[in-house]
Order: sequence, then structure tokens, then C-alpha cells
Amino acid sequence: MGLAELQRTLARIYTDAELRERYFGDPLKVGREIGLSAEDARLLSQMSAAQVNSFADSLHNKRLLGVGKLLAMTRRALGERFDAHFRRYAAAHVQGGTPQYLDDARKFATYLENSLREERIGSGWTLDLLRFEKARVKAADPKRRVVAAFFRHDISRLVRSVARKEETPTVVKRATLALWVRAKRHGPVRYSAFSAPRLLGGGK
Amino acid sequence: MAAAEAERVFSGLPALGVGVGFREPFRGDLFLQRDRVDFLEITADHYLDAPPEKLRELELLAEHFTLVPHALNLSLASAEGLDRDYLKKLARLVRRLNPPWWSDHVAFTRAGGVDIGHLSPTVYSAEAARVIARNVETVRELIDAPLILENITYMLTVPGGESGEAEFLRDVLERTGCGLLLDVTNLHINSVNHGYDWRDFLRALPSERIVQLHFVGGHWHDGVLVDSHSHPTPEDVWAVMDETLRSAPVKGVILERDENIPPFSEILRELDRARSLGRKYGRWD
Repeated sequence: MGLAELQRTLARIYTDAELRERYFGDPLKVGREIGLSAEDARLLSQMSAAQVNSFADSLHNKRLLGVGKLLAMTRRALGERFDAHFRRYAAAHVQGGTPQYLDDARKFATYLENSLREERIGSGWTLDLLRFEKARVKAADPKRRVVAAFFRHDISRLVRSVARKEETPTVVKRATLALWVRAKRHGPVRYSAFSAPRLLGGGK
Repeated sequence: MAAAEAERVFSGLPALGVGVGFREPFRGDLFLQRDRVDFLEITADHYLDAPPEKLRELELLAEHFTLVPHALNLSLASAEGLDRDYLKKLARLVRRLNPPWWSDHVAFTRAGGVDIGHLSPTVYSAEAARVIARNVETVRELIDAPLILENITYMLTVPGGESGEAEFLRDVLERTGCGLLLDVTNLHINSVNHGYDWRDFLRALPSERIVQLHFVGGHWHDGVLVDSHSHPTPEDVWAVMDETLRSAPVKGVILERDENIPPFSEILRELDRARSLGRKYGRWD
């Protein structure tokens, strides 16, 4: 087997959980299905399933670590449910392999938001926290000029209390609009939040 | 690069001493204690498409420390060749920093349009060594600074190999003319997980090519030692470092603590211990 073909096959097996499971169920059959010659399929069948799965798990854990840092407050609020949701999200085969970490965080945040709404798990403030971190991840893209997000709670007070790891988060129901603005491409980001009475008053 | 030329390059490199991989959580402490940190290693990928605030951070670091860039995604073992866009950005960064050397890994991170997301071992074969040599030649078209290559941990042995890892690394270094960034933690972890004596591995390497070391502690998970960069350096790894510093003309050592970052005083204690070891063998002042 040429080295390029070997590496392409390995990359698919490492990152595609469904393919990996089928492959180790019958390496010779599945090897032929994905285009390997009989000889090459026999060569690759020498791989240890336990070792490959261990490596694939490490890829998953690395993704979780990266996404968990970008959505740190949400992860803290949800605890193990965050990790469980991430496992379900990551199990879906991603065309192109492992996404870049900012892209991964943004996509997972969308997936998690939808899941939490469907399951009605997590009170409203947890969703607001998640949406805040998702917006912040979007704003981290140096090519994005404006990101806006609307919250049912006073998001600045909520985020401050969660970031300080206060035992009881400060949850105040107050419609809030948050903006991340980059005056020029690749420039610094300015964050502002405007809560309901100020919005109604029209002033800063 | 011919062997004699490579020896001349590496023996002429400056002895930098002991430093740490730069991490934002201890940025403030780092500047307050900069006289106890001889140099810094920066993760090159963090500065390739960076916003202005990250580039300002890089300038500030460069004003106060010698910086050695450590890249993650050249994928030097890729049979498909290199990502030219990534290489151009990396070249710009290395030219900007003008480091005494820079580094990446003996690994591939992508193939067939799939980004694996982590350093993956290649097969230990002559063909794989030729691929790495070809890719390093491509790198040298854009980057003059000496390149050193790091050994990685591996959970699986890719079938079809013709030699062990140490022999493969020797072959790669001879074909490429590169130096070696010996991660002594990775060496220890692989020796434990794959049941070999790290001393034999060390003896099989061209010691004159060992330019820099990495060290840190990992953790056990399901019976496997993991290079999590998350714990203090264990005594077993200090033993590997001691023997390496005794036998190789190492120019610099970097502590790679990424996770579970402790108070900076704890990091400094590890740096001080590494510095003492190097002084014992006359590697630096």
C-alpha cells in the first residue's frame, strides 16, 4: 500500500466512528469496501482495535477540551450533561474530519441550544449563558464586524457571577441586547450590553 | 543538508537554558519573574491568523524573551505534501521572530481532505523517511532558521513498519539534516505503554543532534499513560532528562504545562531543577 493511501485510510478510520466500528467488525470486508486491495486490507487488519479506539478517544477528548474552554461557563453550569451532549454531537460523522476548534465550538453551541430547547433541560438562564458564549465565539472571528444577541436576563450580571464561580448565579430577568463590534477588520472587539429600561429610554 | 554541515550548524547554536511554553494564564507572573525564565517557546499556530491583540502580545514577549516557535500542523510526514498557505504564514512568523531554531513534529495531522485534529504516527519505513525529507526541503525553500523535529507519543503502531521508532528517527534526521527536539516525557510514556527500555532508545539516537528537550507530567487513564501536559514532572521523567543532559549537547529545555496550571512558583521550581541538571553537565551557565 502506498503511503498516501495508507494515511488517507487511517485518517478516515480515526475520525469516522461509524466506519471504525464497521471496520473492526470485519476488517477484510470493510477494507475492500473502502477501496483497499485484499493484500492491503490484510496488512491494515493487523492494527489493534483497542489501540485505534484509544487514539480516537483521545481525539474526542481533545475536541471536548478545546470546546469546553470556549464554552467554559456553560460547561460548568451543565456539568456532565455538557459532556454527554458533546459525545452525541461528535459522534456524527464530520466531513473533512475534525473541525477547527472555533468552528467546532460554534456548531456545538447551536446543537446544544437546540437540544436544550427540545429537552427543556436547563432553565432560561442556562440557555442565555450558552447563547452569550456562542456569540462571543462568533465575535472572535477577526473577519466578523458585528455580532448581536438578545437575552431574557441581565447577561452582564449573570456572566460576571458565573465567571466568579459564585454559588448562586445572579439571575435577573431583564431583556438585554449585547453587541460585539469590531470597528475594522482584524481590529479589537468592543463589547456593550443594553438592558431593557435603557433600551426603552433610548439612552446609553 | 550534509552531515558535516548539520553538525556545524547545531554545535554553533546558542545555549538558551531553561524556559517554559508560553500560556496566557501565567502571563502576568511570567513578566514579574522573567529573570528566572531563560527563554520561551510559543505555539506558532496561535499567531498565524491572530487578531491585533495577540500580535501585540507577541511583540511584548519578543521584547523581553528569546522566542522559539513550535508549530503543530505542518504535517511533515504527509505523503500528500504540505499545506502551502500554512507554510507561508509560518515562514512569515519565523522571519519576524528570527529564532535560533524552531520546531514541529515527526507526524501527520491530515490526509485525503480529512483533518485528524491531532499528531498521528507515521509508519516507520524508508518511504516515510523520504517523504519527510522531501517535505523538509519544501520548508527550506521558505525558512532558513534551523528546524528541529519532535518525537510524539503514539497509542498504536502503524503496520508495515521496517524498523523501530529510534532507528526511524535516526534515518529521518540523517536524511533531513534536522535537529531533534527530544520530548523526554513522550519517550518515557512510549517506553511504559509499549514495554521498552528508554535507555536503549536514547542510545540509538544521534545524540549530537539533540538540540532541545520538552518535559512535563501526564496521567494514567484506563491503564495507559497519557501525555496530558497536566501534572508535575514525575521522577521517572527527571531520570530520562538527567541521562539525556549527561550524554547530549542540549541547548535548551522547555516545560510544557498546558492544563491544570499550578501557581507559577511551582512552575519555577521545576525550571530551577532542570537548570541545575543542565549546569551539572555543563550545558549552560
